[in-house]
Amino acid sequence: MKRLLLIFLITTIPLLAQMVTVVEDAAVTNLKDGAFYYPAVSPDGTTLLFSSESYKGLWSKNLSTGKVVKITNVNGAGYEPGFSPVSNEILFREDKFVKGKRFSSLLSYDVAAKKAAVLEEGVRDLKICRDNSNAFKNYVKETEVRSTMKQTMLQKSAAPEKVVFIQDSKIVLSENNTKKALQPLGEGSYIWASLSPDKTKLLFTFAGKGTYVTNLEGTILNKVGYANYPSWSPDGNWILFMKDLDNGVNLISSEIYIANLKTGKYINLTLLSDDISMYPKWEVTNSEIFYNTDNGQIRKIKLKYE
Amino acid sequence: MKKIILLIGLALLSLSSLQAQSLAGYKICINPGHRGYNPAYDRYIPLTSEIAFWESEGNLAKGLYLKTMLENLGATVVMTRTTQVPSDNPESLSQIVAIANSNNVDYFHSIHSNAQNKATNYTLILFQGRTSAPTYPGSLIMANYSAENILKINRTTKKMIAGDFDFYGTGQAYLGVFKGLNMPGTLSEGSFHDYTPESWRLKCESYLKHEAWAIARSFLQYFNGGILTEGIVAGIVRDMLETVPTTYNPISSTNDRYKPINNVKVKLEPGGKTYTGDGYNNGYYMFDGVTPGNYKVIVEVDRMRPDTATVIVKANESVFSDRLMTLNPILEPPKVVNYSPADSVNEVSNVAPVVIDFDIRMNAAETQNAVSISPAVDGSFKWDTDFKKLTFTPSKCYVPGGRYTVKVSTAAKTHFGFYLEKEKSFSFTTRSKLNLVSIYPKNGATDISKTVLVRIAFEKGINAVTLAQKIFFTDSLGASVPLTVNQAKYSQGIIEFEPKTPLTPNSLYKVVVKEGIGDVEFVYSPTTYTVEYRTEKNYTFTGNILEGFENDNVWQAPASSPNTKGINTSLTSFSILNTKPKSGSFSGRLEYTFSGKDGEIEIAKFIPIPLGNSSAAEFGVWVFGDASGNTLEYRFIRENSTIEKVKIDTLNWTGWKLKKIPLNQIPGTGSIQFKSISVTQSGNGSLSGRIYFDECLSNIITDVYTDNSIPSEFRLEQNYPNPFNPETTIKYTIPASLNPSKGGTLVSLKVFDLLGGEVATLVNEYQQAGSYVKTLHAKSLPSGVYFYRLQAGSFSETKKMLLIK
Repeated sequence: MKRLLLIFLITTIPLLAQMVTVVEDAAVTNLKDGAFYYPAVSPDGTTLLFSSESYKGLWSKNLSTGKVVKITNVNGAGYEPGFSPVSNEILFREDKFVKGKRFSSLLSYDVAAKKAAVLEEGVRDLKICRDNSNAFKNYVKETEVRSTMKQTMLQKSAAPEKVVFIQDSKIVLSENNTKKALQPLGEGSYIWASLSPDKTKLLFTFAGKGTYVTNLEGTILNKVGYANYPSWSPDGNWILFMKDLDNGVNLISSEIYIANLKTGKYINLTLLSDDISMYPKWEVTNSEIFYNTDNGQIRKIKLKYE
Repeated sequence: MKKIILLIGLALLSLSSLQAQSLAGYKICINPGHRGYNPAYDRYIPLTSEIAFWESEGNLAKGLYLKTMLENLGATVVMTRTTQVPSDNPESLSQIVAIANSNNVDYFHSIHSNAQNKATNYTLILFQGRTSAPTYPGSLIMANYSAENILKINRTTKKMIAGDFDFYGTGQAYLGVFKGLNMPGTLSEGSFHDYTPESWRLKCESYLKHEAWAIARSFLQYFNGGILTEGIVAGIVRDMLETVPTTYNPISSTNDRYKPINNVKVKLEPGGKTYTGDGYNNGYYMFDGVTPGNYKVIVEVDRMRPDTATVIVKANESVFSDRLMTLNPILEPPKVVNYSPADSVNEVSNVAPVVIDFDIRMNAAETQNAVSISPAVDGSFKWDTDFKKLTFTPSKCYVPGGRYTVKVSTAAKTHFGFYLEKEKSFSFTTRSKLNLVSIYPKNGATDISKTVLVRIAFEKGINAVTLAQKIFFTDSLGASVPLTVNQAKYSQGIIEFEPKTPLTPNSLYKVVVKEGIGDVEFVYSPTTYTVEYRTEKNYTFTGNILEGFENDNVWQAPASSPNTKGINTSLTSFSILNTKPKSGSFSGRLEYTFSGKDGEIEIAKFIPIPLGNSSAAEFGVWVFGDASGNTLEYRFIRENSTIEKVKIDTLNWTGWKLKKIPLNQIPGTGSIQFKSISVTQSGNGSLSGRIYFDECLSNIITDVYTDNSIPSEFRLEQNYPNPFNPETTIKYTIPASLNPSKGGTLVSLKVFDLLGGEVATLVNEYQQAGSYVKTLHAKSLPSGVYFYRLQAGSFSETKKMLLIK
């Protein structure tokens, strides 16, 4: 019923003082085709990746033709996959558990040739460092930051760019493989760390304390509050996140929000939806957001800024 | 010679097997479930009026023990939490999963206990997927190991393993702690915390540690890491003569019907290890790290016959020796060693229980019959678990000012048949009147805020039904002032109320508290109190609004501030709320409780506010005080980064007041930034309070309207400034009230756009005669022409204003 109400009201409700309007909240996948989670858009905005609830397997959807392709069925493939900067190559991981130990491989999938190649294998601690546009230029093998640049060829050279990742529950900021561990709020578990599009600020969640924006020295600039799975808007002015609530056993509700870092205003984008809405990601502009519902439907929100 | 070589070889083999147990190279994530102390996501079992079991506490203790065990075995352990998590920013299930994923761990395990019907106690291990087809096959393997090991250790009635798709009947993922996990994982419900004997056992640190050993053994099996070379001796010591209350629902196939003994002393020989039990009604003891071999368990309990048992300890196993103890007879007459109320005391609470302590276990029925109270009082007797302490609780209040005598006759008898040798008696007198503790404002006070919160504090909780026609709040003409009353503090003896609309400035008001107000013990106040006070002058403050207290993400939580100290963190918070705005939609509310002496609470801006360095300018914050007697201070940052803390006032008022300071009174030189507000504990200040803040202003201009006469006509003035961006003020006057019974004239002041659409309502309430100033905050409005219209009774006037951004 709330969904019907949403359709009725969707073009008429400006989101109060922020002058941001949800003009559409539409299904991208059909539940009859399967349950899909964790959407991520290619840097050129043409392709959407998603996975299963346990990150097993990886699918792509051409956003122009609507065609869905299953890329792989391996474990871990859906955990933070990325695209080469020109979107012609998809990079993902495969996790195998041998006598209880996790060994990860890094694979590259050539979209045109529909073939996957192994870039790394047998890695005990593999981390993918996709940037804000889901472009995947660097990864961490054990403790070393490596680059995947130069089209389809893997370059195992030092990564020149600033990248951020989580190591031993700390935020690690790396440039030219010089690493700096940050714990802006002291000892604890840091998750979901990312660099702002201009790479001057950090966004992260400190488990049990909330989500924060800091400079690269770790000085707090903004407290976003209880805001999970946060990400930067393409222009760096907004934070997108989910506010999921549970009873300690299972999920009760989850809504998608955006927060303006300058005005401090929060806008609930799924206020009128009955769904448990989770794991949102921006499209390549500020005007579209993809997310998944708890029962596995990928949806897209279109926003209008005034 | 060959024999010697063989012996050396066996010895080396033995050494190598000792070192074989290892989890080196493995990374494990441990999640102690349920975060902490919030029934919305934690599980709470009250055990006595003072003692409760929180599942989050038990889970955390097991998790921390397990962390140490696994790390000692060489594993890398990632904990999702190592403390109880405050409820203002909960650690969500999605965060827990993200911690495990981002650390690339090999395995995830979540620790819990279960609940059902208070009469069930089994071990359950859950994982994601179908029971026969888990999402990760490793989960099923670990589930089998841990179910068997925990069943043996906790000695529950059975074990069960299940995939969440089947267990919850959903056919799809259900448990949030597995959703999105990219490695195998399990969740252990070691036992049932709502089964009362188990609730008490789960209060025992050793019991929790023993379950951690069971999970550690399971990880060794799962990772093929060898076995522990040492064993464990454990058991429960109970009293053979006493049974637990029937409300415990003891499971018949167990010894849980016998009452466990507290503070047991157990010795393990040889080796001389000793164990002292806790006071949580579980009787549990445990020795871990015991070298395999034959041992004697020697139990010593005060008043009980000594007890010894033999056990055989094996590597990687737990052996149990439960003991049922019997009393050592005491062949002496009893003594009354303590009692309350003390003899001959006055002003005793009118519901005070009578407590009598004996030195020997007593015969309950005969001793109760030997106790009498004169004059007679109805009530009930209750014994402690040792049958040494007898408590009589009156079923209704004693008579105020009554003198009561308690006698224990020589018919009082011990459990072993010996009588009290000499009658014991004592007397006490109950309270006769309800006393006033404080009242605000004080009689004769001046400069009281127009939004004053009147507070009358008595020594005991107030009986609300006695308040009818007992409190009067009138203006100088004797008319009643419409009130909002806070009934939530009656139980603390506090009566608080505030005017529904601001009072008239520079006017006399009277509060009368009549005799006859009663408390929860039916004791009454014999005195009438009258307070007359004068409100503040008719001030108008205008200035630049630098911070509106409309967003909480610009303020640092008090507990996170480096200058905050000496507070009870769970009772101290700062929130932006819409319950009491001075202007705009929200204000900041500080709730605080100091934990001792010299406390301070700082509310700091993440980004300080520049104030310039104009010596003539003033800076201020609207503060709704709490009359706590504590100190209000502001912190400023000078150009050279020096922090200057300046006392602004003693918090000796209630209601809104602008608390300001000229910038030239701030020590140091150069430009100034406002950093924070502090509340500092005073020696005679209250330990707790509630203060509101709204609008930080600079360049303040103070106007005082000396003409306090009632306006003779309606008047709506042009807004100032105009054009404006983004705030402007609107002044208007209301003549003599048209509807005194409702507290004045119904007034509305609304703002419209060019198309006639309403964009803001600044006033919509009954107002008394007087002059008013309202501020329009137009941050969210686009540039353009707007109209504002004042309506009051039959009067209506509209004016135009211009917003330029």
